[in-house]
Amino acid sequence: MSDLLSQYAGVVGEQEIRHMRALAKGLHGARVVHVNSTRSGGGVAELLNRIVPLQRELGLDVEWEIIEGKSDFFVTTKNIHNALQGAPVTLSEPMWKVYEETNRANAEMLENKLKDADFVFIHDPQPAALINHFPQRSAKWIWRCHIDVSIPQPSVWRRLERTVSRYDASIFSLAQFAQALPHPQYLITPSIDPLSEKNIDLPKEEIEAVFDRFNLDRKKPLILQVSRFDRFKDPLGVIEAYKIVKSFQESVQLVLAGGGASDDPEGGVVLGEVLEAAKDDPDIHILELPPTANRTINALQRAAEVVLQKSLREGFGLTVTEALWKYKPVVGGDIGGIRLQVIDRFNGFRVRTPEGAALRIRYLLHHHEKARRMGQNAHNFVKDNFLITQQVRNYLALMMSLKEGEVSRLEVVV
Amino acid sequence: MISSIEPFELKDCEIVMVSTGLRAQTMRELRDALKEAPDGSLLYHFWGWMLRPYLSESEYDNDFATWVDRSLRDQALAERLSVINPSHYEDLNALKNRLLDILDERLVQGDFLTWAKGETEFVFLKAQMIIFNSGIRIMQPKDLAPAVAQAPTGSIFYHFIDAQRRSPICCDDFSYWLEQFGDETAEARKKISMIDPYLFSLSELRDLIVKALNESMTQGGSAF
Repeated sequence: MSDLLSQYAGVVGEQEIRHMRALAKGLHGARVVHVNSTRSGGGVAELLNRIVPLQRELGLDVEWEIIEGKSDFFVTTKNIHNALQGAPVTLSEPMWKVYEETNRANAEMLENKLKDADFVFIHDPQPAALINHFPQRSAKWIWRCHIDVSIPQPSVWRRLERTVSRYDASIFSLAQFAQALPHPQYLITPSIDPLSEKNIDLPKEEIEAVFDRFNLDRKKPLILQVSRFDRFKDPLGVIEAYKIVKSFQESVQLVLAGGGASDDPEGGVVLGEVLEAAKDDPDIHILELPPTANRTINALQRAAEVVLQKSLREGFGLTVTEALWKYKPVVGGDIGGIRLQVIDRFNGFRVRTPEGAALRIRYLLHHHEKARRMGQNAHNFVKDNFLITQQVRNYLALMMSLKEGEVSRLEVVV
Repeated sequence: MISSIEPFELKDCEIVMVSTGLRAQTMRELRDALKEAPDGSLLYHFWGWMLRPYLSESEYDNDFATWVDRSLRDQALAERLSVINPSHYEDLNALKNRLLDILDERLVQGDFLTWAKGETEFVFLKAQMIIFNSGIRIMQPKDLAPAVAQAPTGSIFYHFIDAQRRSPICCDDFSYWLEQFGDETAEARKKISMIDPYLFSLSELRDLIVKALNESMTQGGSAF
């Protein structure tokens, strides 16, 4: 067994690794290309950073390509992203033109790699229109949608749907996100990597060092939300919840730790609003962290007493998974992928309002033994369901399924 | 006799979940969509949950019962749906008809819960099962427990859950194979048959099967 697979075996057990290797035998040598819009920042890039080496270890020939674009392209795709998550955004015809033209230019650059592949995974809407420039493709093209498209803005979805319909299959994170499309829609939940810098165990000293580094008070319970500064993550709602908690209990502090992503031009505006809302309270700490600050985020999550993810829309919410893995009960918005991960009273609470979040934060701050038990449940739940090995298995099975055709039972002889 | 017996080929499986496009938000919509649902969807909602994010404290044995309770808040109907043992039906059509009967009996009562909108949608999914060899071959009954103890949960699903649907006598693959060794494995088969496949997670089932095999061995079956 290779070093990488041995390391995973140490976390998930050798059975799981044997399972993956047996499944991968039927795809040995398959040429796979993943395409997305950023190599760092955000859950998709993080995921690909780990899935690609693992798929290679299992005998697949895997490449990861990034599309390039100017700022007007990323402004457009951010608008598409927001519209697909239900925001009342419309796109002008010049914006669609930028979107399509940038995809055309990238299609030319990637032509050789994509035309020789067996499987092409296109992640999210940014590179989705690449397919329009490969009419004679022999590979199976799969659109992997990582965002919550349960109630998309109709005009934007209709336009994108024409492109997405050309794919051989699509993947959504939750059943509720699936749309009426003329091809199989697979359901695969995202996952976290237990061996990444963001999730590995840390020495106690390293965890405690974040208090000094960010001028936090060791004596005050730490409430944390880690996410981009994005309206759908509701950072202002988090501050409101914190202020309600503080009206009951003076000794508490809040950290909002956010990184930017190179494909998110809106982050600066939201960050400004957050700084304004936090300016009068020295116990609110707004941390702008670079995409590489994985160990710091890890330490903050482990140092926190309660982790929040009070999103208003959420494709899946990998920050929730990360916190659960670290034995933290999570107070999360009752939406999207958070519903799949946070089970009320079992490993956290699902809430709908800042008031609800405040109520549950207060509960966890005062019921230490229950919070500890919920934290243990949280870790086990992630171990059983949301580690990267599970997702790699799902991708392998999907490729096998597409290769062999849509039948209810498929016996693979290798 | 034993020399003519084939070895046990331990298989493994993976399930791919696919959306059917059918959804329901009321009891009547559930009934109507169920009528249209493909066989693969029934398979998934009765068995497939074992191979997906699963909370072992879940109260019900199938997704229909769980949704009726959690979303429609009709606990009595959830209980009636939950008691259905899919292995007891001749085929999936008979199973579907039984579900439709229960829903129709409830719908004619016409009270608030029969037309109330659920908190969440029921989304009909179907499963595609990929079955593959694990590369493990078992020659003697004594080797079965250690092999099962090391088997992935996909193997347990295939040989213990899925097998009961494949077998005309609702038998799991382990018992079916052990039967060929005659009375010497009778105790093991009896113990395995007493394990309720719907009350445990796959890893819990694995532990229970291993325990049943090991206890039978301790109790002195000579084939072991």
